Amino acid sequence: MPDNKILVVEDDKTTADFIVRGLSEEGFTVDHVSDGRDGLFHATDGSYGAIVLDRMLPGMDGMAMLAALRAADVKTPVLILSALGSAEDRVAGLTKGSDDYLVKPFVFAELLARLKLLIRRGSQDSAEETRLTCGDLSIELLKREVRRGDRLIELQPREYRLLEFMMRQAGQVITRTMLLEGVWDYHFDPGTNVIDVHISRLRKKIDSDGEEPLIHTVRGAGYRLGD
Amino acid sequence: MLLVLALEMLVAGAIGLATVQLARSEILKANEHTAETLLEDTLAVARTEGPEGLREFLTLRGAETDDVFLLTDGSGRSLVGSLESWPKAAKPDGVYRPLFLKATNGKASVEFGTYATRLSGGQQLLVGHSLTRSNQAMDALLDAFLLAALLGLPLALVAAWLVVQLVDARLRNFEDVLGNFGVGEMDDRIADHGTDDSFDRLAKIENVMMDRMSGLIAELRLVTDSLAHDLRSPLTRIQAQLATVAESEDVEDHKTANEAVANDLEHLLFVLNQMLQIGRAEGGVGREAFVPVDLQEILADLAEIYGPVAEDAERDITLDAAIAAPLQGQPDLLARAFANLIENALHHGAGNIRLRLTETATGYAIQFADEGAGIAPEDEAAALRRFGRLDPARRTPGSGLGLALVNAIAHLHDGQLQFERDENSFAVVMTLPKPAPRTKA
Repeated sequence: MPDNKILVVEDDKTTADFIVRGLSEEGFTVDHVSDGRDGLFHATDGSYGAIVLDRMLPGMDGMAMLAALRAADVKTPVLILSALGSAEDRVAGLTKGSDDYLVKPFVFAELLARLKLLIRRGSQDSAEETRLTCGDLSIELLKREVRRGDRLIELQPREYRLLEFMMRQAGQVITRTMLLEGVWDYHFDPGTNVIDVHISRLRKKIDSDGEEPLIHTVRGAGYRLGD
Repeated sequence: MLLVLALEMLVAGAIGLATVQLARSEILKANEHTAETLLEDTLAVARTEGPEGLREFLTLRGAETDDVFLLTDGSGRSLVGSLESWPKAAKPDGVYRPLFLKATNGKASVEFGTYATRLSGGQQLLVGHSLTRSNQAMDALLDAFLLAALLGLPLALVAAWLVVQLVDARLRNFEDVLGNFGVGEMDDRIADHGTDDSFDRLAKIENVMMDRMSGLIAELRLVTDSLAHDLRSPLTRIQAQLATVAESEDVEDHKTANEAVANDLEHLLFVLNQMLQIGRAEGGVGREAFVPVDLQEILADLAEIYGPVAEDAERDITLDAAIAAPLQGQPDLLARAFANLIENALHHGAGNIRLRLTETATGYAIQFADEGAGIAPEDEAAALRRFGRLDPARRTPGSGLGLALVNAIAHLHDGQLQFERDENSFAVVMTLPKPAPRTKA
């Protein structure tokens, strides 16, 4: 899978340069086009791991391009970038075939984390997993049993869901809004340190004294489980 | 106004004339009928009583009544009756004719309704019923109508003038107040005369409209001022920070400034997004994206999300929501509103926080209670306004948009926000209506 190839469809040059430069530094191969028609032309060959699509574009609107892409049975994950930030615009974007939706202005780390999540999801085989591991941390999904080495860890249901979500994205940066979405399925920006509190509780149970810390805080972005 | 008056007079005149005409024709018909009856009676007497009886009857009736009679022989010679001679205009053909005749005992010719007919044996009979009374009645009727018209016209004019004055006076009040409102003097209201007439009703509608508009304008002013203040401060800081490090060669300086600018920008975006969200919710945008939601589930999620935050502050969140509460709504916005209320209780309230979901007659009530002093009754309105930060809260972080957003989200779902307080607790209560029962197709 050409997972490290990303198509960026964005007409604003400054934003596009910013995204292209950032993704290139992360080791992605990035193609950039600035209108919907070119975007559709490039995207239909299906060689991309993910597409970053601006919602409002000249030539062909982002939503129209997405519809054409899905009609052509191209299943490449699409992340919509939009200046329309309201809840119903987001819902409309997600129901019309996009896989994620990010409101402008955005922090690059958020875009990167979400893109990586999309690409991983796209390449994961759909077979049901029964066991997740990260270092010496493991979850037996059927028994809902969490172990660090030999140590059995008792988690509350919400802590378990949080850990399971993080384990599935192990090694990737996960932002606070991604956690709120992934664990509780709400999309809003919690004003306080709500997510931090949950993480710090989980961290106390996962990373005991003397153990190699597994839950890392990524400054300005969010969290990462494992390396 | 005068045109209406003229039209009214015309219509009234036409109706009057038609009435007089109708009365006239009724009277004439009655006259003919009376004369006919008179003839029939007379003929009946002639048939039953014979010639002698007839003579007697005619003599008697001629003397006692205003009616006239004349019986002549075949050659036209008068036999008995109250007329000198057979009138030229009268023909013995049984046709009704009004004629002017002079009775032998009368002073002048007056009008009679007459019938003349030929009897057996060549005699001719003429009967006439006096029309004097009915003519008088008709004259009186016409006089009355003319008098009514003569008296009524000035009266109608006076009444019309009064009505015009009255309407004008009431409308002038409308003109003055609305005119002032239009140019920005928004304090006056249209006088309520307490008569509940159409002017009063219109005045009430206009007054409500002006109240709402001036309220919105006042709020807009406040929002603009506050927005200017809240945006200007971080913008000024950003400008200052950028200016300070512009000449600096020190990387650390740039890093510090960068971080500070990023923080200020984040706050600016937060305020801007809140404002937009409030505007959209107040404008009713988003109803088309409503989906089935359950308030019980959302509350349980939020209690779970905020539980550890409260615990860290050595406080407790309890959830008392034993009923399912299905609704059409926007889950993210409802969760945002509930989260705001919980955060308010965490930041500005005290003691334990209790979330309670109950069913009411028309919908659901969700109570967010804590053991703090809450919002003073006189501050309630200010708390719901955009940027309505209460003075003590000025020192704590926040945009002053939280409750305004909650209020807007409640309104979007046709709900309301209320405050409840007693000695040792304060609660914000959101009431949301139940969906209307689905009608079977």
